[in-house]
Amino acid sequence: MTPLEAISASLLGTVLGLFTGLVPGLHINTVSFLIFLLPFGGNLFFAVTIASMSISHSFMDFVPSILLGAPDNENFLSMLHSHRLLMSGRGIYAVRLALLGCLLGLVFGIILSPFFAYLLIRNYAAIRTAVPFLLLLSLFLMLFSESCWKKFLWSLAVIILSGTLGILSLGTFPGAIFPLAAGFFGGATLIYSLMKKSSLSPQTENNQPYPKGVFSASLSGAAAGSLVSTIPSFTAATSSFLVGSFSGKMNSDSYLVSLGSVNVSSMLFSFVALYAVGIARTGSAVALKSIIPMNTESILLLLAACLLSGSLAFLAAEFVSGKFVSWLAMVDYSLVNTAVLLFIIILVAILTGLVGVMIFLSASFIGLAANCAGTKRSCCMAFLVMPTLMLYLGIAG
Amino acid sequence: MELSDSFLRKICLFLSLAGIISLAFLAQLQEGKHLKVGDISKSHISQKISTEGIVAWGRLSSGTLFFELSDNGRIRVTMFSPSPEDIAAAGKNNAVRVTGTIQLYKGSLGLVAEKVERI
Repeated sequence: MTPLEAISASLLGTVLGLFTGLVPGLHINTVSFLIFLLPFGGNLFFAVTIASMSISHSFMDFVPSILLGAPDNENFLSMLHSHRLLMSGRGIYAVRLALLGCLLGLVFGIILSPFFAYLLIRNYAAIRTAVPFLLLLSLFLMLFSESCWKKFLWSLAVIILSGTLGILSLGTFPGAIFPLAAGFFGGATLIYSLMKKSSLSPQTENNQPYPKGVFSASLSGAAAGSLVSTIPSFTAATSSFLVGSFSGKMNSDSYLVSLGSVNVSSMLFSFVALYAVGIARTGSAVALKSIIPMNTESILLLLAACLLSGSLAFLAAEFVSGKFVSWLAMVDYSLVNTAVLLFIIILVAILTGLVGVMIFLSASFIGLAANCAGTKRSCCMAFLVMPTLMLYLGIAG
Repeated sequence: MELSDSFLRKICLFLSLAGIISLAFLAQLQEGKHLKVGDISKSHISQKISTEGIVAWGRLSSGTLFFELSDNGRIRVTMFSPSPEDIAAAGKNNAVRVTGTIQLYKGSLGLVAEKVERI
């Protein structure tokens, strides 16, 4: 591979990732397959393109997630905090926080990669044994962090309902994860917004300084990212919650920074985990595993591609979010909410059929109940945690 | 340290430049060190190298391509799951460039190829 080919592959991946990140519901896994149809390039070219695309996607998908309320499978928890900021006229600030987290997650991820690989190689067997305990711990922490018994009971109900829906859907209906995640976090927020007839406050200029503690928030995000890339069913939300519980109270602004960091570092670490112990926890890592031998030379090349792609994606996402907000100011926000909700439902129907729409609606109403009761919506993560827990405990096949 | 948007943009430009330079450098490393066939020794085991020579003989067995490369010496090359282009390039008496990793097999040095190109 010539240097020019490597740079071209990374730039192509960056552009593709920006596009997939901007279109709600368009996943990088779908586009990964199309890359193989390119009439030029070899396996290494495709690998650099896929790695770059995955990273730039992780940056850009915060823009529609925060400004339109249309999350994807990875960053859905960012909506809960960012939506509040958006409604109070600080949408650009919310995007800036998430992007800062992404950038710091990229830098910390690259710096920590050798340590992560070393620790993973030495402790992978122990980590595998600890998976069910970590999953249980995350559920208990969510439950017992509620402030009163009423909220505790609501959280318990949300965990049981989400978990049951997850158990019934995942493994039975292919692709059920999309309507579940879109329902619990996207559909619920959009319906709540429409019910409240909320209108978008005029968006202020993005001059607000960043909060204190962004570096520690990003660092804990990177730590959480290492869990996501190692432990099955651990999402950015679950691991952020777990790491946040041990690293102390985090305000909602720092939490958004942390989530940005988790999103990018977990993608980066999934490539490193593939190199270190051969596990592939993300779709992109699965694609990479099938096309190139993961040796020291290739992982270093992919990390360099991620560095280029991530830094360009930061600049692009910052620019696009500014344009996006100007456009939002000109249209009726309830109309935008309705259009996005319909778009997600149509996408769910196309990708997963009528059953998918039913799963989406069920998930939306459970998420809505959590929202109305004022409990932590992260309890809905039980839809992933409980089926995995059952698998580990040998209850499900 | 106060973080401002203009500072972050400068950092991004710096990081993208660092990304370009490291990509260019690491892309060349992918090709491996270029060695003549006769210069390959046990000190190169597990190293990625590229070498050139003439295909002395070749055969395809159970989806694996085997051929011998000769120049100022001889080395046996193995390629798992070769593409039709790789198989065509490794035809008898063809001059080829092979990129791969040096390995020891039953006491003899061999090259496990990742890429075979006609030159």
